[in-house]
Amino acid sequence: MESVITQKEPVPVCRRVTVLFAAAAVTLAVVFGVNILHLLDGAITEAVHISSYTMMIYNAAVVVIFAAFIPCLNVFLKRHADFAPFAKSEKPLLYKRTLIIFAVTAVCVFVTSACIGFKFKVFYELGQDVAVIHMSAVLIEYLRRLLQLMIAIAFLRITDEAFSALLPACKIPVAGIVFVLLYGVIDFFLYRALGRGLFSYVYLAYNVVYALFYYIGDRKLYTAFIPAAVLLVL
Amino acid sequence: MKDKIIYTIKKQSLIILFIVLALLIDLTGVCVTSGKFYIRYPAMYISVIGLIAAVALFISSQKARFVSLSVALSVIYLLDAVFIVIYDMTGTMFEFSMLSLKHDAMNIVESVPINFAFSFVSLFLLTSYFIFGSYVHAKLPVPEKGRKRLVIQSSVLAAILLAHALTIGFTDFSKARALVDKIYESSENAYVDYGIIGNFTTEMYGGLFATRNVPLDEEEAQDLNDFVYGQTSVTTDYTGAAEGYNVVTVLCESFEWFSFMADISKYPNAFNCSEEILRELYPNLYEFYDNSIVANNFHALEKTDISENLSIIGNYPLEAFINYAYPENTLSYSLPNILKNLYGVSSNSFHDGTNTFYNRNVHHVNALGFDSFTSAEAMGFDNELKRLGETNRDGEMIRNCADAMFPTDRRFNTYITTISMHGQYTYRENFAQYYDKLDEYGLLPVQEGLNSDSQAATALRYYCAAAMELDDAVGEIMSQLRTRKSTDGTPLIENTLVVLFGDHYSYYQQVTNYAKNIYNSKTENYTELYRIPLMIKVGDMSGQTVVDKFCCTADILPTILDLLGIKYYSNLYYGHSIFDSEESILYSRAYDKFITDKVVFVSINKTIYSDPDVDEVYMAEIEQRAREIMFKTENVMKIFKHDFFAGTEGDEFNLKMRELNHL
Repeated sequence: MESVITQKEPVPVCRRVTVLFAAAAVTLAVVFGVNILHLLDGAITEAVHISSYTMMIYNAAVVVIFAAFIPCLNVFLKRHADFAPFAKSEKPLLYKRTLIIFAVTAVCVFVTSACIGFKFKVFYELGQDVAVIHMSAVLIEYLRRLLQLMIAIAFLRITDEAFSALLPACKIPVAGIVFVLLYGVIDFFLYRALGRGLFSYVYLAYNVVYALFYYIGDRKLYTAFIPAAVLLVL
Repeated sequence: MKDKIIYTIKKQSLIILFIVLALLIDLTGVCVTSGKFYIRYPAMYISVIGLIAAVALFISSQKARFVSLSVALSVIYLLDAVFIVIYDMTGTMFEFSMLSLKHDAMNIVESVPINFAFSFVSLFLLTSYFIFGSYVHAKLPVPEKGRKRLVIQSSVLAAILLAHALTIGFTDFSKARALVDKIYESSENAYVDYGIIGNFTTEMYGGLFATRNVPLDEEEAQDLNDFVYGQTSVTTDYTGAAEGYNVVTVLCESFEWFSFMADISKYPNAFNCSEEILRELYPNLYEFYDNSIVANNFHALEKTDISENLSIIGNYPLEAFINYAYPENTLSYSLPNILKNLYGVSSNSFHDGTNTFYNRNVHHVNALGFDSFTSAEAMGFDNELKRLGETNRDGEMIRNCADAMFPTDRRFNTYITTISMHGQYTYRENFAQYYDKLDEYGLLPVQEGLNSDSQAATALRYYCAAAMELDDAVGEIMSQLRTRKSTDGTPLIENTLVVLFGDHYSYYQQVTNYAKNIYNSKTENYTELYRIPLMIKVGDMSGQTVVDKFCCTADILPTILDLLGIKYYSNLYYGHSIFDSEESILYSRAYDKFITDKVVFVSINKTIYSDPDVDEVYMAEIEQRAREIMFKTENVMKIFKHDFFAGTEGDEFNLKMRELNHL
């Protein structure tokens, strides 16, 4: 009797690597390309008069774009590269690795806070004695940055998968290096070009830590994302 | 036996760990607020944690226990964090009476000072619990089911409930203590007494269930009577300067000198232009300033409702927000009640905000003695702007309510609370013409950028534009008083006393901090932060008189009475006439601080700021003033708690006031 089970044919390695690299490039383009919406800032401010509202509208728009992009990227890569960067891992992380990530997070938060007079950097970013409206605008900005961080770690994962397929025997964390040098550096210069110098060097250094989380966390997205999110906020 | 103990500990490890971490989190909170790592009377706190743990014993699944206790621990952390934020913002512990300000909560939360030490340590402990619990709960022994276990659990719960009940029974909710001791406390708060959760629980029980209206015994009643009538006011050079006059008191929301004046030395980041330009922008405020008594050294640090009350009744108790706690008390010594009692004068209050805010619609009429309170809903404002959510315009309020505010057929006492300069300071359609005026002179442009200085500078622009609305309102008041004539044909201005004062510095969006470049108590001249306007116009006086004496909001009512030539019982009022040689001290009920123009302290042992020229002689004088105000406050609290002037005491007070004033 003929088998009715149709086995999906594995994607050829060459094609898979090309798709992964292309997806990584598109991901990077989307993450940084949304900044083009800043061209509309002037018009929005003229309409709503309040700079905090402009900030809220920009960040809300980007959150919508990112929220739509994530499932699209996941579905596309699942279909064409047999790889879902945002899929949750079934295998739990070892207790020891969890403790290492926890300790690294705690130390980073402590060191950063110590450098700014033992205050969380969120205290400065939220603002001191500001209107609730400004605080709300910053909170939406945090949401945007968290989604951006998740996509950035997904970029790291996609790149890692591509390099693993291309160079299976290589032990050097090439993807991590690419992540820090490409994503990290572009983000640093873009952040400063937009007039937001607050903690830019800290975030640049943090990209190394995010990559570290990724590798210690067994190359899982959410295991890297959660402590990275804590660092980003605190 | 040993194995059994270890087995039991393993089985209950999540609960044991919860108790330990809950204790550590609260102790951390106590430590960051009071510098001590212990709780003096831990019974209440331990019984609350014990109750949670006892309930957790009933949960038979380790996973469910882990989830519930994680939630409980998170709630404890959040509660502690909130109360620490309140403490860092206001310097006071949580009080049950703060709940009555829930409608005004967003005005209170102007900033969120996240305490690093507490949050870091507590989040570390919390995360440790999450990680430990998530890995370990599946490996822990499952609690047995059965009748024996149920009996043990129920017994534990009953025992803890009994302990909790006994703790409540033995807690003194009246908080009776000599307030004078407050001046000498080495620690400025008492979270160390009950812990943060313990304090919250105690306050909730006290507020919800403790008896309020305990009648005074005879001895207490006599002591209070002796206090009330113990001292009378002194005569000054200005006593009776406004005898028989009408009174118009204007509480100007967030009013600052720099809102219409330039002085680079005092306000380095505010206006930087010639006085000529500012006189064009604020003609009416300058007209008033040039022809009034200017209290150059007037300070305030209270929320609006407390400032309002201080200027009307001259005192304010601790541990209650009287607009809500005592909205119908009899306050025979308020200005409206005194004027009604002595001269049959009708008093009316106006505010272009909502009717029920700060419970004014009840409190102003029932307690303060006003015949009416008129709010925005009854002032006939432009509906289009109301739909846009715009703040009402003070000038429009004066124009719409002029007949009621300045009647010509009788003597009147009018109290006006403005709103146009209220934060937050953003673009407002109805102030567009003021922004155009600022732009015409190139003053205070909008500053782009997300850093706090740019934000504050932009807020300053909107704030100073709002001050033009106040200028319009002041101009309208003076115009109404000049054009309206009393029955004998005299313009009202000639026999009207007008008092303009700010309720507090402009704290929204750090406008005052930015304008004055004062951000903390380490800044030279820190008390300048709290120096705001008080100007008094006696009739149609011309020329300016400056009073350099330190004075504060509590001095306003004694000053008005002094000018009106009304003798009063001075123990009832915290302040003194600004013309009296005696200086007051500002005790901020909202921020629990003592302030003069030279020193800020929580207690004699905890000075926050001190001018370089402050010496022991000055501090001894300040200590005496602080003792006096705390003594008065202690008695005022009894007056409010027992509604002392209700009934015959009020009648007796009225009679004695008439005798004192030879009427």
